[in-house]
Amino acid sequence: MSATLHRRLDVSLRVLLAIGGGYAFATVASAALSRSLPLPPAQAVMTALLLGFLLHALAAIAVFAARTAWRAALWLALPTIALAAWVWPLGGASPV
Amino acid sequence: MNQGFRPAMAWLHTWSGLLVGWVLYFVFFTGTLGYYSAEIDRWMQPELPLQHAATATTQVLEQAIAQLAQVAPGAERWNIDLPYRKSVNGLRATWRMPAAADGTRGATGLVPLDGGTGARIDTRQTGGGQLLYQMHYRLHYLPVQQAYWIVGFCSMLMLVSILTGVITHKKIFKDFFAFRPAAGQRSWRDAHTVLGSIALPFHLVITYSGLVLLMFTYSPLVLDEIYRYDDDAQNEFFTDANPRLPEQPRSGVAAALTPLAPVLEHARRTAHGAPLWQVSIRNPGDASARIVIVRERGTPQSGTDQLVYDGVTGQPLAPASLLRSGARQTRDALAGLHKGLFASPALRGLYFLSSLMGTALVASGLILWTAKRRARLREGRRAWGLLAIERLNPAMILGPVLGVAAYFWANRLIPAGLAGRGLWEAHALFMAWGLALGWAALRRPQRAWPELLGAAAALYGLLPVLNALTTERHLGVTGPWAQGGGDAVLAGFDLTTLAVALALAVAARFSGARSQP
Repeated sequence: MSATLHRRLDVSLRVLLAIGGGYAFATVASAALSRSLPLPPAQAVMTALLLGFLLHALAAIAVFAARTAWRAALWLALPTIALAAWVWPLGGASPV
Repeated sequence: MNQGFRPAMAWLHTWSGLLVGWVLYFVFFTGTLGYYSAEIDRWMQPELPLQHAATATTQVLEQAIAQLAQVAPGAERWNIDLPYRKSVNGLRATWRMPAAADGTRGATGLVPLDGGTGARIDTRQTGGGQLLYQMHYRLHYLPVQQAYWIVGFCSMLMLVSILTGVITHKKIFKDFFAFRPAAGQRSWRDAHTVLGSIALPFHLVITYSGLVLLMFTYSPLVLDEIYRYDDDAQNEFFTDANPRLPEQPRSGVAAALTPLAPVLEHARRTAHGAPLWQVSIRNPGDASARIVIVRERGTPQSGTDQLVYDGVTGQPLAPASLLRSGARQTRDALAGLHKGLFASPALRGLYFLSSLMGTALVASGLILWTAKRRARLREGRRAWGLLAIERLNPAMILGPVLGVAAYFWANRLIPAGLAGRGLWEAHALFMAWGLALGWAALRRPQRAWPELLGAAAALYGLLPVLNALTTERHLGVTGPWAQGGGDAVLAGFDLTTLAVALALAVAARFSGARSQP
């Protein structure tokens, strides 16, 4: 693979990760927060939503700071999947 | 990409900014005008009388309610915003019809009133400053939800851009004093840095709070997690989160509204001298009517302090202040900070200036991108991306400026009685922008900049002249030299357009002189 193509692939992957992966991470993390914060439900949701945007921004920064795009994908996917498994366990309430 | 943290952040800063720069520029530009939307509203309705001393006596309010009863009987609510902001005369009376059975929100409307007497005045139909303000989050010609997502996406990238911009410029305070004028690319870079660092807290707060204002749109799944996928449960969330009055269903029994005077008397006494902001009547004409009076607190959380009265008996009902959670107060404070409605005239001026700097920040970033690549471009090489953005930048940056001028011209030129004229005012904005795009596509950028700047200067500079030719609300009548003391808001509008024209003309000359070989 040529160096240019490699670089383009790397950048495209990071862009997708920062936008889509960042959103998924922020959503799952906010959902987990809204469940675990020791507050009444309405307040917990509100607090988690307020923090969600910062989580997304930090995730995007982390994606571009990582040494390789694959490493970034791994670091983003692990907590997202772990939190999702906790928040939306299989067989629990499904989004559909 | 593996060249270290700071260069990676500089890269992210550049590209996230460029990707959405044109949309962000439009959002910042129209949002900036939004801080003076009430003033623009007034200028665009020249049928309204010259400014009276703002009084809002009980008698005036009763008159206003009588007008609402005529225009919108059977409304779900009537709202009357009081002229607490001394600069803008006139009561703002609006109504909203009950929601339809399928849950769609009821129609809304505005009744133009004479602020001195409460009498109704027939004004031309116009989107006014409100429409410009709405464009900064609803754009135009797009379904609302789509527009929210586009603006939200761009705002998210703005947030990333601000954070990475700070990381990139570790010497941000040193750079603050380092403006090098007339040095080409370097000047644009300095301008971008200075604009970004002077108003950095503003940019950060305005971007974050803008996202927070629409957070239920952007993060629906989080709400689903706690309240499941059930509309009733989600309604319960909104009731939990906004401890406001439960919506009272109409009883269907007609009942006359209580006299307003004792209610206002009680509200003024309870408010301890704080000015009243709004009188709202829910279910007017029904036995379940409520009168809600909001008082001004002069803080970002203004509008949250409500006094509630029974609309038929006039008895006070709820405690003077509703209990709010910490999270809710944080959100209210952020929303209040974003809108700046609480601000005194001087603070509002600062809001306007900071927001103008945000607009210039985005524009200078877009220009810096091309200047930097132009400087680096090797002899004889063609870079199509650079050429395209160089050509489009003048139209995308000056297009909205020209468009708003065309919007104001259309307000004076389209016959006052024409049906759908408000829509055509908005069309004029985008037609002028389209023309600018066509022009910029045909001309070399070095020419397009001074030409479009010159055209904008002419449009703004001649606006007071057009105003004098088409209305009785020109500088001869509104200036402080006029008999009766004039009208500060209307005169301020005309003088502002002259100042804008002057600035644009200077910029046109400057950019024209620099493009000479």
